[in-house]
Amino acid sequence: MQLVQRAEAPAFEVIYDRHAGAAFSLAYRMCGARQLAEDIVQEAFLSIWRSGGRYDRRRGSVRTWVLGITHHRAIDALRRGVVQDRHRASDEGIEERFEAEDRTDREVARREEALEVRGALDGLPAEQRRAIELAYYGGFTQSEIAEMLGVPIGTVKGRMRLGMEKMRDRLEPPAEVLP
Amino acid sequence: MSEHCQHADNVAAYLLGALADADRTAFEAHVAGCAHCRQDVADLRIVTDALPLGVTPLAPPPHLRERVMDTVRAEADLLHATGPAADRPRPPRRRFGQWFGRPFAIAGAAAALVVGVAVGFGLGNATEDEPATRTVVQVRTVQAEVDPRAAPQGAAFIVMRNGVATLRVRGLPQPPRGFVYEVWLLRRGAAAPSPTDALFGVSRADGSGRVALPSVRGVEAVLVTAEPAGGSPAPTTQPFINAAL
Repeated sequence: MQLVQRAEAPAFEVIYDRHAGAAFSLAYRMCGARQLAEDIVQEAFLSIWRSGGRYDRRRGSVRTWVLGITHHRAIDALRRGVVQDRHRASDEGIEERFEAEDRTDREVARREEALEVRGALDGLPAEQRRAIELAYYGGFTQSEIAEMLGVPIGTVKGRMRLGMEKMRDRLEPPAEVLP
Repeated sequence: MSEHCQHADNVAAYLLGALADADRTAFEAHVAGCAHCRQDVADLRIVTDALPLGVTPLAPPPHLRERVMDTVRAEADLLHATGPAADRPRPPRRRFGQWFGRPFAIAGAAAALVVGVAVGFGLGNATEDEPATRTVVQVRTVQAEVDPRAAPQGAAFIVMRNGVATLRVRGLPQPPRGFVYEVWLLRRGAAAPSPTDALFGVSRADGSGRVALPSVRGVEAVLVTAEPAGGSPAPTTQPFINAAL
């Protein structure tokens, strides 16, 4: 990252190669259209390039930082109304044609991580999972979710909170037991 | 659920990105001064760090990498060539008719050579939503004259692709320290060239670089000079690249 901060293009290329797959997958999951997903990822990486100096390692890994920016860019696009049908998770069947192949250890690891997170999400009660998915992947505000689901906003807050606490408990590495 | 303060019930929505803009701003201001909420955010962040990884892994298309890296390389070259002064505001422009009293000309300049007009086929904006269509891509390349005293190994081309012009150079020396290359457009009938925002540097490795040009409609020649970092409103050195369109 220090090289990126000094505007070294080859160093940035490494960042792109490591994280563009995850960023593109997230953007595509959120907007459901390939061209828009490409635009979101392009915007996200160029903003990272232009603000390389703002990365703060105390706030997490580079991947977390890249994906956080991608998520914000996708939410901006969703709320600008660029996506016609926000309820649609993705273009039907497109994932199958563009799924990354398990050719490298990194791609195998990505797939395993995806399964683990998906397992934690799928293990939630349906109403909690729905609230989290609409918020995080759908880019809806809590007020919009309350309206869509026909429940008070306090209920939406509660479902998101409980769901996240359960996911945290499942995803957190077990505490080490000292002998 | 944590009930230490009235804002605690917004922690999950904040992390998931589900607060409206005004609410998010207010919450961030609150968190800055509330240790409990800060801890709460930190405790649950593991979930929002993980959620982006829970999607079907897809492979980004190779052309996306090219698009991103083309821009990154061009900006890196420019930054390295100009240094921090590249960001400084440009001085106000002056009228060239007043500044230049005589017709602009390059000593010994010859007409640029048109080396090719190509009509090819490409896939235009193919997306999954719209089937790919074959579109005609018109490419015209104009070779510019490069002053051998300034750049003995230099070569420069204007590539016009469907009306969008790009200047590509190779074999150019680095601009003098504190200088940058600036592109000028000499319009038909004008006595002096107009400045552009097209400032560029070149790669240290091979002196190559590229820069997008504004519209060249009605332009007789594209010129390049070395100018102090940040660019100039009027040429301060002799042009060493001249592309007659």
